[in-house]
Amino acid sequence: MEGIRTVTKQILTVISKHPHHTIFCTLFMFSILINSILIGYMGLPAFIDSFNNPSKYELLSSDQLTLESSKNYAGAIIERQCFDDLSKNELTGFLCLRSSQGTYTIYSQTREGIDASISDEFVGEVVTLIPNDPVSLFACLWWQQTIEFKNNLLS
Amino acid sequence: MNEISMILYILGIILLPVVFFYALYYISIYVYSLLSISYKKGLVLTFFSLGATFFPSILLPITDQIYLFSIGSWQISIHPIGFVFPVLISISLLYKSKANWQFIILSLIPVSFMAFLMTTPVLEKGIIAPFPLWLFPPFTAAIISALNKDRMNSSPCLYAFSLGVFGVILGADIAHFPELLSYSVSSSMHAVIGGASGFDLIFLSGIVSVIFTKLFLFLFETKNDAQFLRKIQANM
Repeated sequence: MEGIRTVTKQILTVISKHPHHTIFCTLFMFSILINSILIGYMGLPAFIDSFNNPSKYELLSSDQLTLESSKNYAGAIIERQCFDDLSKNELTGFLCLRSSQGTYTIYSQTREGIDASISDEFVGEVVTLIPNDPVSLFACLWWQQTIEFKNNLLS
Repeated sequence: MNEISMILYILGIILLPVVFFYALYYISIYVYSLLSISYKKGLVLTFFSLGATFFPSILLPITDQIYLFSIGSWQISIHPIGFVFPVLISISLLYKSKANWQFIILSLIPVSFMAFLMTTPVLEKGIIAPFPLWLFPPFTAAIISALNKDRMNSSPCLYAFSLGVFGVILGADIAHFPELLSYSVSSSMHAVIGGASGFDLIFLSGIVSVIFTKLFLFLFETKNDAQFLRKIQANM
C-alpha cells in the first residue's frame, strides 16, 4: 500500500513538473489505442486504404441506418463500390443499399437475395459495423476526423 | 508497400492527430495564460472546447444547442461552447479586472463594423466569413487594444479577447440576423449562434485577437527599445 502511494506521488510530481509533455504522451498513447481498435475492426489493408482513398469510405451513423438485424449498432463504415453487372459479383458479406428517401439499409444477404426483394441503389460493402459503446464510437469519429484533416492538409 | 514504409505510414497516421490536437491545446493554454486563467481552468476549457468541436456526439450527446425563441419558421438557438463559453469568459474576466467599460463600448463600434463588413449571411450555412476576411475583426480588436494599453486597468489581451468576442456577436450575428431571417424558407430552419463550436467565428476571433495583441505589443516594445538605444547612441 505504501509502495503504491509512493509511486502515485512520484507520477503526480512528474505530471505537475511537465504538464505539456504529459498531455503529449497521453495523446500519443490514446492515438495508438484508438488506431489499434480501428485496425482490429477494419483490418489493416482496409485501414491503410481508407487513408489512401478517403472518398471510397464513409461513416454512417445509426440515425442514417436501418439495420436488417435486430442488433443495436452505433453505425457502420462503408466501402463504396461500383459494379456494372451486379448479378455477377460474388459479395456475400454485409451489403449497404440506399433507398430513394436517402436512408441506408444493411443486409446480411447475397446480392441475388436482395435483388429478389427490393430495387434500391447499391452503395457498397460494409467494412465494419460499429458496436454501440462509447469507445468504438469515439474511435470511428477519430478516424473520420483524421481522414478529413489529412485531406485538408494535402489539398 | 514494404514493411518499413508501412510501419512509417501507420506511425504517421497515429502521429498526425496527436500533433494537431497538441498544437491546438498548446495555443489554447498559451492564450488562457495571457488572459490570466490558471492552467487547470485552461485545461478544462480546452478539453471542452476541443471535445465539443471534434466529437460533439460524445461530449454533447443530448443537445448541442440551447433553444431561445422562434421567429416564423426560424428557430433561434445558442451553442453552449461556441457562444456561452467565450461570453462567460469575457464577462467574468472583465468583471474581475474592473474593466474600463466606457472604453470597451466605444472600441466595440469599429470592431463590430469590421465584422459586419467581412461576413455574409448564407441560407444553408448561416453567417460566414471566408479566410482571410475573418482575420480582420480580431486584427482591429488587437490594434485598438495594443495602441490603448496605457488607458486600460488590466492586460490588453483581456480587452482584445472581449472586443473580438462581442464585436463578432454584434457585427456579424446580431447585425446580419434580420437579413438571414428575411430569406423565405418552406420548412422549419435552425439558426444557431456560435454553431461551429470551438471553431466558430466568435470563439476564434477572441483567441486570434489575443495572439495578434501579443504580437503587436512585442513589435511596439521592440520599436521603443530600438528608439531608446538610438537616443543613447546619439548622446554618446
